Amino acid sequence: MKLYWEYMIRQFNSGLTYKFNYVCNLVSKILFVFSQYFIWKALMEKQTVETASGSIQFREMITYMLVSTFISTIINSDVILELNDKIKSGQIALDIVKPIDYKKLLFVNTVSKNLYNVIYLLLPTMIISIAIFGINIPSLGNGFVFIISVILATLINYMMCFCLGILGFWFSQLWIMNRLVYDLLALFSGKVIPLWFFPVMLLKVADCLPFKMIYTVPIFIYLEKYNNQEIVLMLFVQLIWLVILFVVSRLLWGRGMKKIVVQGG
Amino acid sequence: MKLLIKYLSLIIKSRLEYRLNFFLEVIINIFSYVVTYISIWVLMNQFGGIGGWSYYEVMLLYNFNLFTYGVASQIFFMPMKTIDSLVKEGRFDSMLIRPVNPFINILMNHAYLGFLGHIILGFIVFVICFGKLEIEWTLLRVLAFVVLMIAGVLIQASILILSGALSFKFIQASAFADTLIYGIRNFINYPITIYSGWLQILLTCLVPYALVNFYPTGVILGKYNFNHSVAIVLVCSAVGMAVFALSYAIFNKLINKYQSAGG
Repeated sequence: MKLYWEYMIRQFNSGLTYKFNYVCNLVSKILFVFSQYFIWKALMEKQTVETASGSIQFREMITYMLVSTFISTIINSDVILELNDKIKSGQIALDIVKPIDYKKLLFVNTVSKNLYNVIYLLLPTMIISIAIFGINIPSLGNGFVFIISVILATLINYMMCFCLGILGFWFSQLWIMNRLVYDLLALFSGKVIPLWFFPVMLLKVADCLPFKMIYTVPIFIYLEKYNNQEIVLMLFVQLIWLVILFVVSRLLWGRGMKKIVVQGG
Repeated sequence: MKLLIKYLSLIIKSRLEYRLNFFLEVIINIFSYVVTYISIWVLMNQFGGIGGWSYYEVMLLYNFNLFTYGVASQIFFMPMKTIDSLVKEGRFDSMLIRPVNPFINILMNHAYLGFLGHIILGFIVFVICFGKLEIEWTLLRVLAFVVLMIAGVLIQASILILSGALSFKFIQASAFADTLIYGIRNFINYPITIYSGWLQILLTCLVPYALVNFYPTGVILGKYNFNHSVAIVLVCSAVGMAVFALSYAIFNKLINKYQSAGG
């Protein structure tokens, strides 16, 4: 455990090595939030919009956008590409024989990178945005459930990426898969456009995919769009997706490991 | 010249060697932007337009950016992106000792065809938009369209060249380029009139992205009167040529100052 902790601190500190890079990333992030704000402002001229799932206030929409930015920073994971590089270069063999669980190391790696992003990128962006645009604050109970839901969402996203990453043992062009999932996630998770604006046809598609669990569910909890029963149900569904993905990742990892042995033999 | 054509044909042949790979890249690029067009459609379907622009008008606006970016990137994106790692690994030196202009040399050496997807999709969307918007194609309008398109490609290319040129000077220039290209480019997905005044000025004068799609789309859609349209076409082409010349000059200047990491 101490080993992983040490590793995490090192990773965390390496992020600030390139200051210029950091400033650029921060500016990018702030610019992104601003462009989103102006687009929603132009779309919601009348301040309220009637949709199939009730009326939406402009301030609510901005809160949605900010919470979504928050989640996207927290869940962000490069594990697909990282695994892909290691598998392609063969370096994974060295990582596996180290006296440390490589799967856990990958996870710690992601966590430390995200911790860095949250503190140095998200915090300044959020402070500026909230000061300018304002944000709705949920009740204490919902806020607490929201945190649990975000943690589940983070794990779901990580497991999904991890499963795809392991597929690199069989396919060499994994970045294509990465792009495909990223594009589908951007649309059907409700990351940019809330599902309440979707036409029925697309909504049905979104309901079948796990992506919704990553953005829509936590944000709806934050905005108090679910009643208590729905909250419990949604957390349960999140948990089921997580368990499914976890089991799949174990199975794939086992198979992948065997595959390596064959290649080395 | 003959040498260059021979060289280029060899490069293209070698890229097509991995045919499956090439097709997958093209297809995934098309897919990405189809998803983007769907999300624009979802919004426009719900709200019926943005800032007085209808769905197909916004689509045309977006497509101006996509198509010119695709054409410019087809030639410049990969070579300019590779400079970063070439410089870091000291491999750039070999470009300088060959009897070919290093700028041309690097464009040839790292040619990449994956942006064909952007161009194909851009072309299809243009056809769809022009059909739906029932644009009257006079000779002048066709001429304006071609000129504006070239100007757009030149502006997009300049930004890519500039990002490559900065790699000679700074080790971590790629983040700056990403901010410039993707961070600011986000703003021109929708008509710039929805932004506050200072942002509009920034997008028109400082980083002339608005000249790539906002003003040209307005001209093609007949949102301006005749005199204004002519003025816009002239300004866009002048700015296009000017920024291209400027970025090329900066590229050469920084190449001359380049100090090898291996030296």
